[in-house]
Amino acid sequence: MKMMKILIVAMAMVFSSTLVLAVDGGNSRKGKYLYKKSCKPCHVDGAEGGELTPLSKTQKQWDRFFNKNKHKKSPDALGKFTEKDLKDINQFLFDHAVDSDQPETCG
Amino acid sequence: MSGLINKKLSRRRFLGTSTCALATATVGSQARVLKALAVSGEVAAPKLNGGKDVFTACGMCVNKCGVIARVRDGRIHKLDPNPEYIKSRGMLCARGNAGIKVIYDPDRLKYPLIRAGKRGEGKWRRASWDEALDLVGKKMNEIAEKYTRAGMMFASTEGTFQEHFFLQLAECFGSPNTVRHPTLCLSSNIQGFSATFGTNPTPDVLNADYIIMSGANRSEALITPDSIDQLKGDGGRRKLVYLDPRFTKTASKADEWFPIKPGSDMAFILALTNVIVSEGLYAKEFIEEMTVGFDQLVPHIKPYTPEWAATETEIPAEDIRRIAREFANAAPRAVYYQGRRSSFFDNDTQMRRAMAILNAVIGNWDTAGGLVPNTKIKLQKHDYLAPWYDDVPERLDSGSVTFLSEKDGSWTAFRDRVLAGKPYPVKGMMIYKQNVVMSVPNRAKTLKMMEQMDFICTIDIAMSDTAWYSDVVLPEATYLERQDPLESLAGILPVVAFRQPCVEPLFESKPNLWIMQNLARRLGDEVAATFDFTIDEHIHHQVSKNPKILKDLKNKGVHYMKVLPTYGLTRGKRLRTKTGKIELYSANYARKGLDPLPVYTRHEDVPAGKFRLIVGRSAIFTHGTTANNAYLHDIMPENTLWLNTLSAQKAGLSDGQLVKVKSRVGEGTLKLEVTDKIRPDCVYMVHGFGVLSKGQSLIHGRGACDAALIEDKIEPISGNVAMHQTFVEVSPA
Repeated sequence: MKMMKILIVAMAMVFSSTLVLAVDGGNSRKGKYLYKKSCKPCHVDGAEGGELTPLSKTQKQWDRFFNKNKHKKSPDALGKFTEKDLKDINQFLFDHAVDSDQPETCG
Repeated sequence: MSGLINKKLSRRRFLGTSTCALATATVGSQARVLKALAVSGEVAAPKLNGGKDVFTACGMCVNKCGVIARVRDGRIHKLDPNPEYIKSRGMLCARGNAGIKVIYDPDRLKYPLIRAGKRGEGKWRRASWDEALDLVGKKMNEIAEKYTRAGMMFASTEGTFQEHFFLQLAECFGSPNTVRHPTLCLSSNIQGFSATFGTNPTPDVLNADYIIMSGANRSEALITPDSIDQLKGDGGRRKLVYLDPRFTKTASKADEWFPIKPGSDMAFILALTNVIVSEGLYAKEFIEEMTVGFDQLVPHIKPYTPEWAATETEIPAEDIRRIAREFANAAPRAVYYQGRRSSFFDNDTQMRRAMAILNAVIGNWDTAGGLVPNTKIKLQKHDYLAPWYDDVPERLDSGSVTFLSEKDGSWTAFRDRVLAGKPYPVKGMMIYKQNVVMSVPNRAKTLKMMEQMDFICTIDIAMSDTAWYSDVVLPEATYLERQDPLESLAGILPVVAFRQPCVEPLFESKPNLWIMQNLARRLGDEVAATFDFTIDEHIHHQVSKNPKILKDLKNKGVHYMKVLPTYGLTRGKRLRTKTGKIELYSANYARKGLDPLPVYTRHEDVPAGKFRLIVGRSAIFTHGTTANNAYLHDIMPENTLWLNTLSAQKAGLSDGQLVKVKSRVGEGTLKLEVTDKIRPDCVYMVHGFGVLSKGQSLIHGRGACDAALIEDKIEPISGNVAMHQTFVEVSPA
């Protein structure tokens, strides 16, 4: 019984950390470059895609966007990227999401 | 004022020294150089702009208060406060008034300099901008070639309104290694409050009925509007409880002062929370609606009784209990003030968490007299695409602390890795305004780090200690000579600040944007392309969605949307925490192996025969940047070491005597000030003296440097420094 409890706790921990670190391994800096180069032109105030920044979503929402939604409004938009590119962009948006760990600065 | 009166600095002398400007007759050889340059025609005389009043923003400290420069005959005659500037409540402090001496300072940097002797020897030769920038560009490109672009580090600090141009250059050059001031400043404060509220809110000092301050010495470490608002509470309605090992000016204005044992603030805060929770004085509906983790807080807080805290803090248990009840009774117009104050101990983030939790349990969030999330007036950003370089590694200090800001880094962790040369070498330093030699604890280590650099360039307005140890020094125009971009200052009443040239830049000084643009050209077309704009274009872009901002700035020197606070905008909405609620218990911290609720640990006691060195501020100095200002120097020409009367008697030391202060990492010599205004186990000195640079002629050889003495202990969650964990010996010099 005790072993079972430990197992459940361990599984829960693995599950929760998997959720949080869903895109772990992408290159956030490269993702920023790709996002600014290829996504931002459509995603500024007044442009076709409307304003969208990393702060527009939570970490979970960004993961859901890349894993399930996949740019449903315009699926072709992601077609020009490699899997690695998408992972990098996802990592950048995840790392700077509204509930991310990236701290505010002072001054 | 007594200092002024004692020194017989009459109004006539004060005004006389301010108006003689370039012809300053009392400053010796530097003045002769200035005169000679003017006569020889090498330097253009200031343009005569006639009489005019120019709106601008102060640049003497972090506050950016509104200023009206009175320009007469082409010179700034006087600086006055801008009564329209709501953030500073129409005030300009002593430093702001003394700003005139920044521009007409014989010691200021006048033209580009290239080192002609050994580093730190003080031998320079004058260079043209082209020669100096060619050299800087060449060295940066060589370092990039040899060590990757991450081999260049970029150190800077806020306040000039042009720092983002510098950071743009760093990013476009391709280095991730920017190291800014927050880990010598507020990073742990911000982390602790953000982990709880999702942001670092502003205490609504003006409307609070009850304020508790821990060491944030608001009457001397001036922050507008808090320093002014704090005093407006006088008259009975407001109560201020102040904890500090020193009897500061804030203590003199407080209703109650407790000379708390350094490092025990968290014990005091946890005990207040204990009383409020155990006596049911907390905001029940608020906690239910807005927070998570109260159920975990209740058992956690139980052992932290006032009796327990009394032994830790040396504050009587009955006072702790009474203050807790008073605080809860004044809620929600009660605030445990976090304000601006640096990090003193290596548990500072958790201490800030304890502060944030205490504020949350009385329900003072987003309400009058409580903690109010900042709002900001939107300006359009200048966007650019930084080139991508495949071979550039992650930040040098990556992974060194739990929450590392990718823009700010962690100063002491970064420096250690530079010295170790791991995980890769950093061999070039580009510095903008930040005086790292004077401001990062353990000065000897900073100098060692600089010794191993292949190249160092500093952009500043004065020959700081950091500039003194550089290879190339570039003179920036001062804040009174520059057109700066507009700056949106967040707060309860946000404003947009404005800085425009009151007079033409003197000598060959240039604005940072000009320096960046001309350096960028030497770093490649891709980098240069990101700087293809003028300052006017930049400003018009900033206000392109709201041109009224610029009109207001031109007409009254400030833009604001409202003069009364708006409360409650976040109530019922998702906050920027993981759960969207105020996190009393932090599951995120638990996941990272940190205490999810703040746990108190006692710090090392002061060893026998030693004293704890504590830092603090004077209202007339800003860090290391103003001590060489002629007007301010006149009020305080050197720093002294505060030592308690009883401790001095015991050690056989007397007031005014020259003493040697020694820590494990350095030493200094300065005069002793024997006073009852400090605990017997502590000593204190004002920051900014004991300079190495002979280019600061008024203060070179005067006083001691705290950064030379303070050990580099680190707060591991935010990467902030721990300024109060150094013990020193004091002996006759």
